[in-house]
Amino acid sequence: MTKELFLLLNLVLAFYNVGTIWAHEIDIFRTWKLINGKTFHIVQKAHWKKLPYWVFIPVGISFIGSIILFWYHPNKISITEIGIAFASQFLSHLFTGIFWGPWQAKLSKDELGGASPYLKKILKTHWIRTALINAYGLILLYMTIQTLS
Amino acid sequence: MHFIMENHKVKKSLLLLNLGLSSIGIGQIWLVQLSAYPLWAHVGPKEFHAYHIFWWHSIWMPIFIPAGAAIVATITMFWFRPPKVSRSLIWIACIILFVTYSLTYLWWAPLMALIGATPEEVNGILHWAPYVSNMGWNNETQQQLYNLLINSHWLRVALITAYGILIFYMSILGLDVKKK
Repeated sequence: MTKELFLLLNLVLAFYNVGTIWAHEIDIFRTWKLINGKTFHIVQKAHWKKLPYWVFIPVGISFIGSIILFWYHPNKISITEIGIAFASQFLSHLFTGIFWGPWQAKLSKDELGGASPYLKKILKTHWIRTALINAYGLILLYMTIQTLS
Repeated sequence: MHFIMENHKVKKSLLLLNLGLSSIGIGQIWLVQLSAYPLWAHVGPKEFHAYHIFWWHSIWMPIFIPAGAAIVATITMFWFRPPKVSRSLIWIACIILFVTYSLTYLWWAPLMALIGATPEEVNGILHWAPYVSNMGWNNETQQQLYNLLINSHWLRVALITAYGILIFYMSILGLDVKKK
């Protein structure tokens, strides 16, 4: 595989993740506040069951890809650019580990369901994760245009 | 010479932008099919109407804007395409988009709108999709409509995925990534 093709595959995966994060941010999380306590946990559980294959695996591969790019990248791309791209992904995962992950875990046990303060916190701050994943995609698009155009 | 170089850059950048937009589409459509729609089955009957209306309004910006931009980018490629990308490939991409959005308007949109609709809303749907009554959809139960949506929507998933794969193939051809 050439370095250019590797970069292109990273770009595809980055924008696939942009698509899934927007679906989460707008379509999924925001509708949860409309669900009552009884149904809430069934909906949340059903949602998390689907995530490993369609969200976690692509995100994991994309993160590994962003690390490999440090060593395997087209010559026109500077290490600084790769560092900025990596930082946006790393921050997204770090904040997920510190904030959104634990809040989701607490939300899954909260009897208030859609009225839970944890859901409010998630809805108030999840745009940061959306912005970071979008930033990663846009930096990669910039790098790819720079290299392949 | 400088103009030719710039023009070449615009063509390749447009193709890359389209690749990004088609990848967004794949990410969204798979998550909608595998997570958003199946969640509807778990929402209680009392909350369903408000849930459904909220969901419908929420998808306008994240889904319609990238989808609209992908249509514009694909049509623009007829005039701005890298030399190695043939016109026939762009025609195939246009046909896939045309089939996808025609079927969305004729089939999936009325189906989605009918699920959870009040009798007044059903009358409203019959104004813009009068054939719905001929198909008997307005007399189907919510569960029957939902099953029809979930099963037939796989075709839309396949079309949007096929479009993304085609744009990726065009990118490999048009950007010379195998030879660098």
